[in-house]
Amino acid sequence: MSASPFASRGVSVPVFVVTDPMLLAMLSVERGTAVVRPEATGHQHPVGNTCVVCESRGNVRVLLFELGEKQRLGLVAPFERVVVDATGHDDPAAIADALVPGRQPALGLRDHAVARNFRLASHRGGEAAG
Amino acid sequence: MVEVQRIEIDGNSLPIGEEVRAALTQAARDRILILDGAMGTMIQACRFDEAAYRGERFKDWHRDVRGNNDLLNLTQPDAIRAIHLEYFLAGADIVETNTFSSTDIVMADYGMQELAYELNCAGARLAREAAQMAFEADGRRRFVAGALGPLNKTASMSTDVNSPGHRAITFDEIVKGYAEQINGLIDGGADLLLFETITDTLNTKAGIFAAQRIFAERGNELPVMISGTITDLSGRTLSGQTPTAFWYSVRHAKPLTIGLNCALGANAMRAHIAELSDVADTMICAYPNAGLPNSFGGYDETPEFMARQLEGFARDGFLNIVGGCCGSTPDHIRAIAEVMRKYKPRQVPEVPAFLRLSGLEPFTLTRDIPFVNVGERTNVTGSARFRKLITAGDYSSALEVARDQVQNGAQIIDINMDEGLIDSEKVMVEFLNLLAAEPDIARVPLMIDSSKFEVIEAGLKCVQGKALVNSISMKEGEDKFLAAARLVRSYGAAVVVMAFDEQGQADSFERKVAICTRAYELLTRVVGFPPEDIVFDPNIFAVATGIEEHAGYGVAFIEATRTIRQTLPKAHISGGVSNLSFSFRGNEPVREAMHAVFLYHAIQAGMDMGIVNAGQLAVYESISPDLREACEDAIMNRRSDSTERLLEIAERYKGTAGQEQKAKDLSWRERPVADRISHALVNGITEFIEADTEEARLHSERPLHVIEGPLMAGMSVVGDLFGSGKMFLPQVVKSARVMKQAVAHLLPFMEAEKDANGDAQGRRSAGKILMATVKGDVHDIGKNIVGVVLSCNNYEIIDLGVMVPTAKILETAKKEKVDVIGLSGLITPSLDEMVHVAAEMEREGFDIPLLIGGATTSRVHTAVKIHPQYHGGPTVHVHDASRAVGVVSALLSEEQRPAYVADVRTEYERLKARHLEAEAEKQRTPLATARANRFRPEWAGYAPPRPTFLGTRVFESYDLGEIARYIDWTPFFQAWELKGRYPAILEDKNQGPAARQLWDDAQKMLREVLQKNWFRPKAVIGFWPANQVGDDIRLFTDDSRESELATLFTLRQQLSKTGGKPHVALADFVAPSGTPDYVGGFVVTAGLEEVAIAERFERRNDDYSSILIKALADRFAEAFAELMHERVRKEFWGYASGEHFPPEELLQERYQGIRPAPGYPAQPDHTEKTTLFHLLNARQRIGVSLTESYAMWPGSSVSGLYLSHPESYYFGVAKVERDQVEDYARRKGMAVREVERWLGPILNYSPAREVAA
Repeated sequence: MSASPFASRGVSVPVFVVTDPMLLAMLSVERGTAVVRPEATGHQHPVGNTCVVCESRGNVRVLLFELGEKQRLGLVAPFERVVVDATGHDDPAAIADALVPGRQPALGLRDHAVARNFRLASHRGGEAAG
Repeated sequence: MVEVQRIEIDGNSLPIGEEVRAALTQAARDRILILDGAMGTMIQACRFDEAAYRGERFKDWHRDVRGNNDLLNLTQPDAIRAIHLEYFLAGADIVETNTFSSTDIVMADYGMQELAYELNCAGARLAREAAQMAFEADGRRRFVAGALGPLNKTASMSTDVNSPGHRAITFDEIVKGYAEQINGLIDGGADLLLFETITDTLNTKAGIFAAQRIFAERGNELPVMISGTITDLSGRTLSGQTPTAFWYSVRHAKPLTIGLNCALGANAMRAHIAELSDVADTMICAYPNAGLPNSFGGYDETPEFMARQLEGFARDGFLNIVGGCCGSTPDHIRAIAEVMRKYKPRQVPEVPAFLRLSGLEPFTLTRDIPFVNVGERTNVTGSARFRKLITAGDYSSALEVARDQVQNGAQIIDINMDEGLIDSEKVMVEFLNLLAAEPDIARVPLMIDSSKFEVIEAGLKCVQGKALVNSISMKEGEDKFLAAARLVRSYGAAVVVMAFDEQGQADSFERKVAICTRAYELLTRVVGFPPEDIVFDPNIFAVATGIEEHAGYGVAFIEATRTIRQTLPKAHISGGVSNLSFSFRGNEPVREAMHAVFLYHAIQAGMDMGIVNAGQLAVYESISPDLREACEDAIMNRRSDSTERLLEIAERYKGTAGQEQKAKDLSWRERPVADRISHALVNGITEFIEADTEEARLHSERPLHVIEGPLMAGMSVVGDLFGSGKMFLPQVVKSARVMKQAVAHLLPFMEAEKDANGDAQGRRSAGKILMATVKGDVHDIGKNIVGVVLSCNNYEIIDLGVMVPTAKILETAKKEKVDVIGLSGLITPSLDEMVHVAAEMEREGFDIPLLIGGATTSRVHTAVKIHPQYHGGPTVHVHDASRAVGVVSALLSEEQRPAYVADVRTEYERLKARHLEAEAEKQRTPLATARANRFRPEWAGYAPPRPTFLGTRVFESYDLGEIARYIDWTPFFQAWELKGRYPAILEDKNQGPAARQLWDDAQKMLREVLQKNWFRPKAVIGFWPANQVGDDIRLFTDDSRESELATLFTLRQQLSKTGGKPHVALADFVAPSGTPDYVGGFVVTAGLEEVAIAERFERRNDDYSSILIKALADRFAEAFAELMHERVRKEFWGYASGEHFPPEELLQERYQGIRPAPGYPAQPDHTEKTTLFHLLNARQRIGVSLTESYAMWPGSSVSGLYLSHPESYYFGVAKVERDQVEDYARRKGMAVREVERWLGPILNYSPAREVAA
């Protein structure tokens, strides 16, 4: 645990982007698993443009950063892996892309923190984790 | 309706900043001023299409422009003016121009960078016209704030996480962009400037720099408003600053207001506005979004709701100016204006004039800080190591040097790159840019240090915080000094001024004071520098050099310091201390002593900052008296022969630094007894605890007071440190050991007291907690750790141990009137046992909380299976020991319990509902389909290897040292809740120290284990002829394969599979009838001795060692299994005699063949152990038996099968369907319900008995 929201945790947490509902159900009940779900706000921004509200709901990096913050503040149980619920998401590949270091621009120190503390473990539909 | 007013604006009619400031300040004295609401929301409501955005002028533009709202200043001016007017008439005093994105930098996205000036000018003019119309409508003066939004590029951070030193834009480019925008806004008639939605403070510092230059050029300084934004839970800006750090970074703009806007609604903003309101000595402006968005793309907060929330801000006195951001409309502003009428504006507080700096976090030099350590190790002129790293271009190691300094307590770090062989300016910039991406370094303010002002200036353009410049001087005359000082101020930094003038460096008392006084007058009177931002360095020179003129240098500095502090108010004194002892290079002990003596006197005289190596500073009091006196003589110039005497004595101290270090470590023994007890508890030192406890007892009226006083006080420090993540589990368990030994010392005295006056009260605990590992389970490391952590927090623990039947748990709970029951278990059958305990508690009418913990337990299982069984009290899953205290204290607190219980209930109901939903959506693969897709190795042409013997073989004594080589340490650290892989964990930034200490203790105990042969490991292995039959493995008595010996039943995967992956079962790895194949089995144990040894430690009140020995025993059992498996492959089965892996690679499972264990993922059925144990006769042969839940006893044992096929691999069966369970039950000759009971956790359906229930 660290005093700063941006500090490196030393161990990077694997993130699974999952599109298969059954796999999601299986993975999400495992011990030490946290689930995040990017949602659309319905704001109609021009492509490539976004707002703070959309970011807070739909940007997987923001969701992961917030999850880290919640753990630091004791609002959620410690987790060892994160499952991103991408079932029904328009563009799951874009979610995975956001987690590949360097593929999409970092816009804040929190993006750097996410790159340090989380890593894309897999992005798949039907294959089991075991 | 008010008519559109076209107004003429020329140079003569532009607003005068001073007048605007006076008018706004006057108006804000009596009431809270109102800012407008969102522009974007109003424009969206106009539903302009691409053509409307383009208008006539841009109809052929080469790119789409819809969404470029600022362009509407040119193409839809009437609409924009009308929106401004609507806001004015709704009650706004100030509207913001529609110029949020009108810099060439952002407009480049539309290819419209050339339009930046025009957009701003037109935007300001439209707002100006609306202000005039509003004035004519109701006679009230309105103001126009020129809006400067954030940029899409950032100067303080890299946009590429792989290249943290890269910058997409420079400070100078931003200055240019904002300057053009500001000129446009001023020429269009803006009354003031508003930097808003700030995500990157450095960008805004460039904006401030541009504004100040333009104000100076035009001789007209407009008021400036500054508004940051905080968009997430961290409470930081996107560039990572806290609200206070952000304020310190921009305070040099002397803004009319500081505040926040945008973000996720008023509620989320409240704490941050409160923080700013406390620290800012200027007006506060807040304009949040209208809440969170709803699913239709609108915003949730109605005008009334938003007004009510902001009313709370006003009531608490946070507001001077208020408005709305995204989602707010004229209706919102009207409602807000209405409410604000009832409240007085915030009183701008007087803030003491302290030096206030910032990195990501603020630093204030208050009177409570006697001396600021400026870290000097990142100075190439001061540290040879850093110079080498920098000249070699090894930035990552150089950053580690910086990190170390901050971790060792440097409050500011000095960065100096003045080295002849490198391009100092370039290296300064590269290093600072890299440093900005290291939050644990960047949190402290920086001292930008160079003798060349160009290097300083380049550095200042890289830091978003408020830095300290080191240094400027009058060496080259007043003009250059003033110019440099003005620039430093424009970059928002504080400054160190060296006592240096045209004649040279000041060495005498008189010259030091005279130069500093002259500089002070120039800075405060001519430049307007705040005196608290000035730090003087009156030059520390070497003493005891043998040159007579140098003898008085120490005194001159100290006396000049005293005078400057008295005569130049609020200014500070700093200096580079290491110069002092220059003539004693190579004799560190003497140098340290000289520095300590010098600082002792200089700090008393008023020196409050210094560049020192904090790690190498002797403690004044601990310097041996003769050395101290000699140093004092030399520094204070007390005797003519002081240099000779110091030289003489110095010889004797050469190389004694190590000893001094050791002596220092025991300095805590000098402190009062309560402090000593606290120190012993925090550091886990048992050495002196009995003596200290006895001393405390003699000073106390009653022995109990020692527990309730110093011991509990010390433990609460431990509890706080653990709670805040500054201590880790092994350290806490050590603290508990100290506590237990202290209490053990006191117990006889408390008993005696009780005997003497029968009525003495016992110790009051915070609550009584019963803990037990449930029937059939033998694992208790986790449970013991939870018990220790709870007892540290003053809970009384009744530990019933392992394999505890339900009846005993309930009986004890009633008899002892416990407040909480905690159940623990490691193996899956324990889950059912816990459900049973819960049901029995319900039946017997219990109403106390039930806690569930252990490796196989989970929140979902607790929610779905255990919680519904027990309605009397809440059932709570406790994830790990660190959570136990929070949960128990919430459950036992009168105030917290109802809300906490309600939260848990809601959460568990939700989990249950989600689980059921997930159930319903599950895809199921029929067993027949899975079987058809079984794993099919090529059997034709494959000859399975034959083991060297058939039947069983026992290993009764084994060299412990040999086994120890096979230990996998990662799970050992996991047992102590230290998460990470060994050996990396030892170097982990946070857990490293705790992990290293634990590692040392484990190695010490391991040596003892090996020397004294504490464990008696035993093993039994066997091989049998075998063939696959369906999903099972049939074993035969001999190679004729005529007589069946037993059947090993296996389960098949039924998950949905893609990419041609098979549905595998263990049986697939064994050849079918016709090909002679073999299967092996094993049981190994570390022996029963650990139990007796652990008990011995417990009797000595040493839980730490007790848990340690159990964790080691577990590791030995695993290591023994690994070792035996290797021997099986190489010797006994012999199919891999050429295999050669060092033990650490064995752990990565690169070898051929597997050793799956019943109860683990490849065969989740624990009952299969019965067959294995029977085949090996493990109970008679090596004393390992099975409990009713199929746990192995002794607990530190491992069992499993050996399979040899080269393509065999570890897999997880995961979930199974009803068809397979029925088939499996039939094959095994068990009742379906029985099988369902043992496979409960992996059933992919709800068994009939539960559906019926």
